[in-house]
Amino acid sequence: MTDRESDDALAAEFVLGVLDEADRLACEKRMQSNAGFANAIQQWQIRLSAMDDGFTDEVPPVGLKAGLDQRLFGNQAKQNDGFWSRLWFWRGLSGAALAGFVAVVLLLVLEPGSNANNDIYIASLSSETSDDSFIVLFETGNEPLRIQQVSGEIASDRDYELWLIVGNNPPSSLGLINGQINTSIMENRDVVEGVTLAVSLEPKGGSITGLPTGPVIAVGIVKKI
Amino acid sequence: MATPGDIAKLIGRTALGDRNAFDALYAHTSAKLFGVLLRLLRDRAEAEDALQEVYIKIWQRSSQYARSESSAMSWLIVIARYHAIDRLRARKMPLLPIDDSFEIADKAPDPEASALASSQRAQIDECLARLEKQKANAIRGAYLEGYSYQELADKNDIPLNTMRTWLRRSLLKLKECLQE
Repeated sequence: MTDRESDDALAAEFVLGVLDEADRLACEKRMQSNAGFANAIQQWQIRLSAMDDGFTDEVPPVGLKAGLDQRLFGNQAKQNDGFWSRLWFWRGLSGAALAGFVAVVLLLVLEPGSNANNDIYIASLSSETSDDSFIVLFETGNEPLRIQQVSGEIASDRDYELWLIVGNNPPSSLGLINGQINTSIMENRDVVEGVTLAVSLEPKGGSITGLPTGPVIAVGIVKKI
Repeated sequence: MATPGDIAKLIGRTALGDRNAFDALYAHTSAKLFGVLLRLLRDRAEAEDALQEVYIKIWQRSSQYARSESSAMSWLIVIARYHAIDRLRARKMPLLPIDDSFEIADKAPDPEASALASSQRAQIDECLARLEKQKANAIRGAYLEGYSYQELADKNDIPLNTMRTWLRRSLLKLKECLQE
């Protein structure tokens, strides 16, 4: 057995569950630092999941869910606000995790409350040179453009400014993030999909030249979902 | 019956802290996961406690689902199986004796399962059938009953290291067959 085969067999043993406690822990630790091993485990999970329907359904006792809610949430009441206001949950995520976020948002097309007739557009804005990243969600109709900073921090004497870039045209300002975002410029366009959004770092109050003056710290392309 | 796509959506909304989605996710998937836990742990009180812990993990890890390639239901089953296996391995002794027959119930595929799932099931069955029966049973027994190497070695009346060599080779053969 080559080293590679031996590693693959170890991943299979982990997924199958035959290892003892110490070896399982060692595998979990290794998974954190070794992407190849983590991938081997994921592939084995997919392969062996073909046996999953060998498990028979058993209905759990009725009171169990109430006990679970108590353990998870205590007496905290359910909040029925829109999903956008729940985005605090995502603050502090790295750029890599942000990609996962976009995939999750893609699952939200049928979020109750959004009008099925509206088109929904999304952009994930980030760059390799900065920790700042943002999610923009835009719905046709009367809904405001929604933008959420997911990571990064800003100095108190600076502002983030959002820009729309269409093809080779110069950027047009959509306004300040944390301030008023003017979406009329997008609403009036026939085609929104494929345009670029960018965030630049500007002096307090925003650029006075009508063009970005500070570094562009996050960029993304608008996609329809 | 929720479709795999429905379950994926519920996980996505759970990841955004939507408790209504979490409730629906529990309603659609708890019987399956409780079945997994009960079968592996072979103790009802422990399985009930484990089920709550599994859903706490699901709540906490739901944001990781989008990046995983597996189907929504099998992602949930992985969390439940690992949780049960960790509990089993932390036990110093098995709680209950394992029955000697070593017969693995071979349930017919769920008629509601997707065509994809049943073709994957047929493929793994075929590949397991190409292995020696004893080895195929060891793989099924470990996956569905949670047997450790020690338990498998005792069942087959061979030394643990021999069991391990057997099983590792069998798993690689299984993989080769599944890739054909």
